[in-house]
Amino acid sequence: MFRGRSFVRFTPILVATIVAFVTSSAIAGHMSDWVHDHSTGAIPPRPSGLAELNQMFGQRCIDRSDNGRSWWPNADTNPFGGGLYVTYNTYIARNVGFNIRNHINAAHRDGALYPGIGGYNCRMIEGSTSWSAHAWGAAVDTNWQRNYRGQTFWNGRGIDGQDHGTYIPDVWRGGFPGHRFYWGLNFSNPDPMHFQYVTNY
Amino acid sequence: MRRLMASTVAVVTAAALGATSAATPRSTPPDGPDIAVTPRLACSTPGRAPLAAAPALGSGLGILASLRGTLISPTGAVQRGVPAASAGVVRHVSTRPGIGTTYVVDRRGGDVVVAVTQRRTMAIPERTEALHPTLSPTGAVAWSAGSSLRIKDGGKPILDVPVPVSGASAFAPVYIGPHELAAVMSAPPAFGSPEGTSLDNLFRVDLRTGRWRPLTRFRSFGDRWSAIRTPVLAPDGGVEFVRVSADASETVAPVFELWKVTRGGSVWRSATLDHEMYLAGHPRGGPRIWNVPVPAAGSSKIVEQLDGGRFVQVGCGSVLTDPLDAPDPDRRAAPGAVPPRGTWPGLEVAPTDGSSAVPEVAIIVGDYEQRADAESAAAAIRVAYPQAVVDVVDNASAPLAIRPGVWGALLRLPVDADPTRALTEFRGKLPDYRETSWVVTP
Repeated sequence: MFRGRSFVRFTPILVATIVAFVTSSAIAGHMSDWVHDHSTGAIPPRPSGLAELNQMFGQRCIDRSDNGRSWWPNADTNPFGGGLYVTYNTYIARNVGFNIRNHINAAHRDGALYPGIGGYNCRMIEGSTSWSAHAWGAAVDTNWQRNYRGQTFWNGRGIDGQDHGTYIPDVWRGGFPGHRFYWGLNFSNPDPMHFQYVTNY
Repeated sequence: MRRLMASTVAVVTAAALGATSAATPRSTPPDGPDIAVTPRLACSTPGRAPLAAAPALGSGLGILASLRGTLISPTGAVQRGVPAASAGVVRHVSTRPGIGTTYVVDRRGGDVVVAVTQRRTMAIPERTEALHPTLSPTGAVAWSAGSSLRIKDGGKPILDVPVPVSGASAFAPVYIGPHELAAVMSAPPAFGSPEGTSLDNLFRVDLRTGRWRPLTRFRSFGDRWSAIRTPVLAPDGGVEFVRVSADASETVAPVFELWKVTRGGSVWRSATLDHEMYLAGHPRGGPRIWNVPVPAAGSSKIVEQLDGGRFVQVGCGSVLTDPLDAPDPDRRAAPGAVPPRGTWPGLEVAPTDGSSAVPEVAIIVGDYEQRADAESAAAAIRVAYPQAVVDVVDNASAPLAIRPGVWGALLRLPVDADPTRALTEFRGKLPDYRETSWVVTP
């Protein structure tokens, strides 16, 4: 049993310890309900170049290009901050839906999202005879109202006003613990909003 | 004597030429055939049909193209001594008969514009992307730098002609007179779609005054977009171009059309194209040459349009267009270009190495305003899939699959299901739900 002064001294430490324990338990407990699936079924081979893009995703602007969907809060630009279905090719449906969307939701990081967010979009690249990776449903743009094309950095401030750093890009990009999407910030005309499941295109 | 590639000939069926215009028509064009191309020809090796001897770069005669990032002739001969070509990927090759050849050497970051005429060779380094160089009747070269057109005429300083609309860009210039260009102006990105083409129109640009005057007045609305590609000078002095249009949110094949602007300013649609194809010009001042992309092979054919609407392949590669067989150096990663990964305790949770034990994907039918309608759909699905688990869900029970305020019928798929195959099978069994079914995460 604590004496009076010791109790006063130790209470803040005790409270902080309890808070830290509860918080970590909450995160651990919440995340423990779900884990990534990094099998080739969930993270399929990523195409390199146009021919492989067509082989794995099918032609551009066809049914399967937008037959995968998931519900994303804070995605819409009109109304601003409203929810939106993001659609994409069924080839990456498990990776985007089960891995990426699930992870952001399970980690209580929906506040890191910011309008706009979008996937399938049957368009040509401006000024080019090439088609956008979005036309295959092979790309997703996220947080574009804060990450315009041409911007040379990632703005991680979410709709909750907090700076989440590179949390969102890290869920999308690279190998584990990301999910192999290629970040448009790599382009020499940088496109920080853009994540595509193809390289050399 | 010419020898044509006789191994395969694409014979097209002519139909009446469409004569409507969505721009500002000044006259009624003559009827003519619609153009259909059957791309049966492989393009894994360069073309073997020498229409003429391999042209010298400075003559501008014949067809030159980019193939696998190098400059080639229809014979397949790689051009030797091509200025600056070894430094990057050759693209946007353009010739002007009797004048010369121009092209871009695409590098990561700034590109090089190269123009070879009888009088001189210019290799002009740019700090940004350079697009679509074109030669004037006197050997000046104009190209796009995105927000402006730039012109180099001999020893004179580079003339910069900015696009008059903030946020817009210009590309694909073509000389229609000694001091006039026709060029495509591309509108700024739409609010709801941050990248990609939204609306292009063709403009006449007076290089002496810097004035831009519209030649076409196409419109776009909602997700419907309209693009202009590969404008070329026709033998009669008019400008031909390909118009591409589509609805960005639909999964309907885009429409490709051949259009023309006459010297007098009349605008009309010459033909509807059955296939994706882009103009490559009239390199011998006569027959029309086309690029026919073959995306499945990552290559492009060059075909010549003959009288009577017939087409014959004359080579492989890209003329005026972006190469399909050489990755864009600007899309490759550079060291230090992106920030390092952060540390996220939740993200570090080890993944499974095999398929997870829980169903990761499902098929949903919806969205229904009334739960009863979702129940009906679920009942129909249970008949088609008697062994499967089918639930009626809302955002509370399936927050990643469906939006708040509506209902859906959810068919849980086996843990190792292929989503593409599963949805195809589902729609085959239940065609009534073809337009209202998706692959989701339950």
